Amino acid sequence: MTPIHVIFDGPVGWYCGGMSDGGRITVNGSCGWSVGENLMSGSIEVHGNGGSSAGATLRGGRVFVAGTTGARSGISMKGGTLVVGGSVGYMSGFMMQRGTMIVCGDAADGIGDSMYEGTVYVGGSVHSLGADCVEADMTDDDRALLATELDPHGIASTGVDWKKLVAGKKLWNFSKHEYDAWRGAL
Amino acid sequence: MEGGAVSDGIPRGRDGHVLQPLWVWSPETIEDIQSKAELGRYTNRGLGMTKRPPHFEDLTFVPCTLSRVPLEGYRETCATSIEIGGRHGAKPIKLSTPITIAGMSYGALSRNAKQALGMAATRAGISTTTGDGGMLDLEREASDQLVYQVLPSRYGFNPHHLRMANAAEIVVGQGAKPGTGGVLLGAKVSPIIAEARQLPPGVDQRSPVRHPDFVGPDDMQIKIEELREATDGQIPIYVKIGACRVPDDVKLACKAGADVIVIDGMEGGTGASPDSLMNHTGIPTMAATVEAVAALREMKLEGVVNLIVSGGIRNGVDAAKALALGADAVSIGTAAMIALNCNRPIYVEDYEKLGTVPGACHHCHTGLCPVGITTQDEDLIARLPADEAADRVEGFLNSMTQELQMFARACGKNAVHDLEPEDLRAMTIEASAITGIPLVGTNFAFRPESFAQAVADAMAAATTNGHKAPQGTH
Repeated sequence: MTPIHVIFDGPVGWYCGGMSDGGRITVNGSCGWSVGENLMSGSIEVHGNGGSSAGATLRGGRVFVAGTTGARSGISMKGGTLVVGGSVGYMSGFMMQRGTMIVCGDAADGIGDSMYEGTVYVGGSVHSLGADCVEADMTDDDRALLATELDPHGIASTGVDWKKLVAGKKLWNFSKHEYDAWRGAL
Repeated sequence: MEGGAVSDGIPRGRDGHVLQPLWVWSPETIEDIQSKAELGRYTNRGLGMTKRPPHFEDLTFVPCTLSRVPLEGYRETCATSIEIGGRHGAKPIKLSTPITIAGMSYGALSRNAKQALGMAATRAGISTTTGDGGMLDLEREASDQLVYQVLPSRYGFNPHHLRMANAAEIVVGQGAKPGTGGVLLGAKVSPIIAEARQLPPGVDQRSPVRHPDFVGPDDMQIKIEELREATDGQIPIYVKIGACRVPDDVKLACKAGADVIVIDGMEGGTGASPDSLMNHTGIPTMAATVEAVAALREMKLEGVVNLIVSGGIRNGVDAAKALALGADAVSIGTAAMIALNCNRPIYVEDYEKLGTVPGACHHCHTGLCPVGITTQDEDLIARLPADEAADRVEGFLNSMTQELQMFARACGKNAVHDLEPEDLRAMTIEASAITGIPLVGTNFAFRPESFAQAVADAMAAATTNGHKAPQGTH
């Protein structure tokens, strides 16, 4: 059975490809809020900008937005891969649980706030880290993953000062001795 | 008497004089402060609020006497069924009795508890609801009619499960803690529960309160359209709201396209939440019912958008009062858990290990439920065989139905949905003011419009009697 490939020539509204499982969607234009929300598998490519909550609660598959996306991109991701060619808005990656978010541009304030697990890569500047989001060392495996994800879109993964962001895990279980970490989270 | 002591429940000093505890610094307040000092944070608890709110308890029925004719209490038929959720042409949920089982998560509850609730709901001809942990296969198999919750966390949310559901319920909030997400402490996040929610095992899971993919009511309208599209318009869409600004919220939910609105009052339960939120947020179910019904009436959508009320419904009497005030159905959560065996005096030594006793246990958050309901421990789960537990819940549901019918017949109604405010009187001025129902012994509801009417009546009477009516200032 050949997976379906839906092509939109022009912009689309909210929830494009939301809750899909398999197939491929191409948007030759921009999209509204929550593109690929709760995607289970398959892929969505947006050759324009995305709204807020792009890839919200993504569980599998791939969402690619060539331009920029709004606030809360990749919120509560539970798997899958979200690639944003441009920048992401405020509080992106909030409460991320699993999966991979790649931001080629800048990340606005509060990136990765209260992440449980998962990995965020940022190629541009990070305005501020969210609660319990910490920077980790880039490895060869990380660079290989970035090349695999970005090469098909013609985006160079080398020559970029990638920042790898992960959960500090201080919010996994409450400790009164780490109140400073919890001050903003409780 | 040598030292201080408690005799006959009264604390006494060395010389026997009565020691008067301070109201502000009561033993409960002292305990609260000292436990917070030890924990270093707010305190979490299960179940619900500790205060007594204005409640359905403050209303009484005034059944038929000479002025109205009752139906025979144990014989004449009295209809109980209702279909809900058909506003937009979806296949409605058919309730043989106007009761539903509220959303409680697999995770907060054990699999046996979820399965038993499904079995009992099926046998009683009603619906049950998933929770903040996705759909459990056992629960789906056990439940003829299953409502699938769409929660802010989307833990375990799966579009295939959505399409297997009989209704979808967007949870905007919960009566126990409107405006805040739930908590599942690490002790209950077992490897199985963690995988179902895509979380690391053992974390203190603090659920979000805002939905990830919409924010306000206009956005929710689009979300409702998405859910309808994903389910071919076949299943009703519910919106569940923690009771706060009820008139506004009901109108906004109606406009957004809800088929059913669930209003959860502050007495509503929870698996684990900050104690302070449970006692100090939201409004009581009785008050919320009155406001929700009035809002639907104002929108001319009464009976079109169905209203379910929940939060502290303890029996068929509370349910009958909610229906008399205009609700289409009630939802029970904690009462169903208690029917399962919650707080039953068995395995008493395990209650004691938790520092509590049967009858006062609210330690759901610890994951060490002595009776196997709010736990993920295999040995404890085995204490709750699903089939037996389902029998108990079914028995309780049947008792609620019988009580509903009993009050309806006594009030001369051959259908429980014919109960009306006129069948009630308020026992307190407060309940009268909240509900607009006359206070017992008077024909007067303590509401502004009643006062205005009383003044108008007095002026008319004075004029009729030939006296000069009171004049306003010139």
